[in-house]
Amino acid sequence: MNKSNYIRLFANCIPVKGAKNVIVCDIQRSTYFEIDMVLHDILVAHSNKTIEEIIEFYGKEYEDEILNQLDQLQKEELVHLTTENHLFPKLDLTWETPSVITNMIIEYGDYFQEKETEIVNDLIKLGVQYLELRFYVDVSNETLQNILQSIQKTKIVGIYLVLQNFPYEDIDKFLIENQRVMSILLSNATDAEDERYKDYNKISVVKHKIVNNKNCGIICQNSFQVNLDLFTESQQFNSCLNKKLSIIENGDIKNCPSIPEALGNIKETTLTEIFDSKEEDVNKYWNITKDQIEVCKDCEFRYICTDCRAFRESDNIYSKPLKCNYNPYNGKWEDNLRGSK
Amino acid sequence: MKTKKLNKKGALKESIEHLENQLPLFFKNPEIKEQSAKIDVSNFLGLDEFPVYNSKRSACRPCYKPISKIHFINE
Repeated sequence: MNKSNYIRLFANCIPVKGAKNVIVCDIQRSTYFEIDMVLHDILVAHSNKTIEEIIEFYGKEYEDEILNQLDQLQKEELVHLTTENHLFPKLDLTWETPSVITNMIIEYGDYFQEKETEIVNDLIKLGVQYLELRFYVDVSNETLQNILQSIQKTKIVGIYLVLQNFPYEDIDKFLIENQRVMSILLSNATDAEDERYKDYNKISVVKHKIVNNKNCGIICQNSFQVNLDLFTESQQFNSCLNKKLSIIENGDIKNCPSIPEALGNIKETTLTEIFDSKEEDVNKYWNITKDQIEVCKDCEFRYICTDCRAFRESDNIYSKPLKCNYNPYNGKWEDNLRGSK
Repeated sequence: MKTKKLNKKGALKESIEHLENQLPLFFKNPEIKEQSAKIDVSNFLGLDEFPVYNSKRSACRPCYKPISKIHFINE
């Protein structure tokens, strides 16, 4: 390693420092690496020094260790050497979207058939991109097909289904005909259903019965996503509630199905009317970033994790998510949530 | 005022041709040989009725983050 060079992280490899640990988020390869705290300082605080100057700063006795660590980073393709340090600017981490609402959650209820046309029109007007459609009761083949058919007119690019039953015999045909369906979660599944769907990537089964939105909010490593969109959105906005709108089973319109505050009821108003008349209430949580939330602001996973404001440790709007058991001060997951589905 | 002597006739063209060979394919104007192949799509449900813009396929992609965390159940 030529010690007169500068060592730089690739622009897509962004370090995030927590209270105890540091990770480097590789937002291009969708993965993260844990690195030493001293190494973080070398890469960030001493980024304007050559390797030789860094060794001089820490002392000659640490030369082998520093060179060894930098060598490992180079092998993992996280850093590169350069003599022209100024030619490598940081990525612009601004997040933008053309949609008024990006994510929509609809819990199917009695209101739906009567209001279906208005809801679909509003999905188009608001530019909704992703839809989670939840059924807490069994759904018929005809009902599900009608809903999916009407959604085809919208700009939605990904549909997520939460079902109590899967009302189709021919799974392959359903998935080919409905390619916007990205994932199906089958709740209350039997062993036979578990066996039947095990080869389908898009279908996951749980034996637990999902009866309402109280099941939501668990934060675990499986929910982490390392990508440019989430990383940049998290810098400025709430990673879960930003640009989200929901209709729950009784027709109440909320930011998230699990939060108590209702903005109105779909039987009396429309989604666009709510957005136009109560914009401040709609986006009450949108601008709460992880850097403002207690404990999360000291967590190294804060830009790859999706927050939860519905289940919090206290009434304080900035308190830690209740269902996250990670402690960034000792770097440990405090129960078996780590790796849970 | 002195002017720089131009290269001999044709030299510039040759150098451009040389450069063009180094350009990525995108900038070139490759010779296109028309191919005709009949593809029977009548039984393929993934394609829609507009073969040029296949909306059903191109308009699908997963969300960059979990829309909700109802999927992450601690069983």
